[in-house]
Amino acid sequence: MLAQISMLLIAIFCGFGVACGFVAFIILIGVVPRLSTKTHTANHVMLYENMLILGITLGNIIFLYQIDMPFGKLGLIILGLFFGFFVGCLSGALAELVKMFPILTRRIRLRDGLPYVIVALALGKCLGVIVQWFLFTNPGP
Amino acid sequence: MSEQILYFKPERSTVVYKENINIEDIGTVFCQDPAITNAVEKISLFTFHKNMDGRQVITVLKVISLIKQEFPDVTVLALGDPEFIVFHKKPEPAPKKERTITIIKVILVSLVSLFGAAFTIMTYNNDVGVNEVFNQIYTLFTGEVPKKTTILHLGYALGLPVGLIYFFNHVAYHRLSDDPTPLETQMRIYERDVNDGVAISSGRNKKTLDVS
Repeated sequence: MLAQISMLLIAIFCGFGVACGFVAFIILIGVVPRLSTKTHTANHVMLYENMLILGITLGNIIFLYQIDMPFGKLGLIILGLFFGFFVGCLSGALAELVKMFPILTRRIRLRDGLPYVIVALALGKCLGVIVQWFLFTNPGP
Repeated sequence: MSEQILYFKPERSTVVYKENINIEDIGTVFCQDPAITNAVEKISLFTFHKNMDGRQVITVLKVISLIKQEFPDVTVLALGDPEFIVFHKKPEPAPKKERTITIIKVILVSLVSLFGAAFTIMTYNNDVGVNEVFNQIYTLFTGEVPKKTTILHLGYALGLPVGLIYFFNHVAYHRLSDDPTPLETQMRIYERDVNDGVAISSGRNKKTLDVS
């Protein structure tokens, strides 16, 4: 019994810590601020925060308890679209956060054509996903 | 009478909906003589093209030179940034259509946040091997190998939303303290970055409205 209670407490603190770190990362990386500015809906940030809270909590519960989600194929396609959109923003923001583009353009003295570089980057990511999922035959470790 | 001092403080960035902008539209003016204050506030600064979205970076020097033209004897003290940005938005078109588009945008961003966050926490849990660590901790405490989800999973699932609410500082729309939420502060940082970027590139492209 004592073991159970202490484990419960430990796990609650684990969740607390993971939540703070996880959110700090998502906020710092600035996906949601950018999305809300680009769509001119900055006055709704609180709603977006609520959505993040809800999404992380539900996603966590679904993962831990392996809850069935009977969405069907169409639902999965729509869900996948949102997953991809978010991860795309995340990886783009991450590249920006580590100042990849400013450093690269200064080093190789690239001034024009930055939009093409960004399109190429997006296409490269897309290509990587296709190769990994449809062409790799070794399932990995 | 001693020389009049006029204080002028521009807003870092302003959004206007009309074509002709005066000094009062982009900042605040203070002078001991109210007549001078009122006259300076009405000085025309810039004219935007009608029905076009646009932006203009203007330096404080330009404003000072315009004030000096009208009132050569007044000393102008400018406070704040040396340059500021004016964004011009055309007068709102059909408000109803605009509103519908905004609602759709809000829903889309909400869904991206909701499902994106759900997806990333799952990939995170998978990546760091939360299940494995939980099983190891469970065995450490009880000596048994768990077959299904344990009390650890329950605690983690409970602690996570508590941490989120604590971090975001609000439950639904109810704020827990007066602090701005982390997204709100991040929004201001982003806005500042955008303003700096606009001002710098405008200066480099010689599009800034300056005295010379």
